[in-house]
Amino acid sequence: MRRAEVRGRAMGSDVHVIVWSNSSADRLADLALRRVALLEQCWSRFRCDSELSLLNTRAGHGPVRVSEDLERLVSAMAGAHAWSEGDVDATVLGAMVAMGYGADFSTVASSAVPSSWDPVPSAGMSGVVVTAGSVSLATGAALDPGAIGKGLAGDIVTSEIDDAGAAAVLVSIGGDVVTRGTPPDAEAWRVSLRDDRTPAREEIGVISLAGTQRAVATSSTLRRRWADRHHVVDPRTGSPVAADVVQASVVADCGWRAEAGATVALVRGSASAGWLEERGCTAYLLPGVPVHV
Amino acid sequence: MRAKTPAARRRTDRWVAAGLAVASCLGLTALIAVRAGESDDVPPATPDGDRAQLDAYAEQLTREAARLQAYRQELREAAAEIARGEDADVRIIERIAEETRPPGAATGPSTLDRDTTTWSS
Repeated sequence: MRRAEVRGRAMGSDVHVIVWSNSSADRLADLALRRVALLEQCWSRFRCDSELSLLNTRAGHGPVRVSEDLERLVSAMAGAHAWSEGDVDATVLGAMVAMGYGADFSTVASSAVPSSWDPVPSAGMSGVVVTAGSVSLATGAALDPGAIGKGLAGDIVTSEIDDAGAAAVLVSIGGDVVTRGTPPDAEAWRVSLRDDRTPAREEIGVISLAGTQRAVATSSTLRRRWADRHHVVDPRTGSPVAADVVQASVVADCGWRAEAGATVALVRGSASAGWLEERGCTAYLLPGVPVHV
Repeated sequence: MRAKTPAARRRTDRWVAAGLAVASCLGLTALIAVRAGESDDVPPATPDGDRAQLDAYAEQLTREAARLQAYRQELREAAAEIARGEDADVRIIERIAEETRPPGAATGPSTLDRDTTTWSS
């Protein structure tokens, strides 16, 4: 059994792939990295030439035929919205742009942004209709893949590499991890959780991913900050969330659900713990001082 | 949320407008819409320059589709290679089992446990 490991950069994040396989492990790891890049090209809101950008420009113009990958993304967005009871809403793009997050984060962090802004509530997922092979957006609706894109990318890539015959695979995009199978030398994938509240980012625990608990996602209001704001938006208000949890790691059966769970935790705060547990998710919630904007 | 002065509000409005323009890539908006739109409200004609950009965009989409095709083909090849390797593993285990079988032992019917190379009848 061979272990292959590759690293790259996509979706504004570091990407890390580990594959275990009797043969072709290196090839599968490279293919996994390529697949993440292909998904980014299709889904990026920061690329004018991505298919998602094209779809956003067609809001209010009726159904647009989309690729299988884009249809899966929009379907996952709709699924996350329903599952989270509205806390996850991909139509927050207007709010993000209003806050100054209209380009990739490195550009945003290094450029001037307005000192104040008018919050823009989300257009609402009711204006997003997915039918077989096509998507239509209501006027004013524009989609931001956000964390759901990273989680779904992990789901798609691990599934395809697993189907190809790998014994085990792990895909991490920006530290959000999705797995299939388990390494031959261990009973589970072990993932270290770090505390963003401390400069040293101390380890707060190690979680095991195996069986149906395949994914873990961490969301934090302490990262991707610029000016006096952060990137996690309450879709109902269009403002950055300000609950009593500043960092949330959620373990779930798949990547997009783990991402959605982490967002729910930041929107609702500590009150989300029971809700997540009832839905089979294990949550690690770090309290902190709410962010005032 | 801090209260804003009218001047600040105007600055914000200008900034938001600019940001939206960037985010939605207005330079391509009409062009892309014509190329990819499936609805009936797509304008029937565009200037020559627009058409050239549309063609460039269409070519790019085609290249992306080709890259996805190439990825899928390589994935199929890797899967086939893994399957061949597993078949070879089975053949090796069968041969080892055959060679280590005690003289006179029954030859079947039987099943092979690939993981432990033990026989059960």
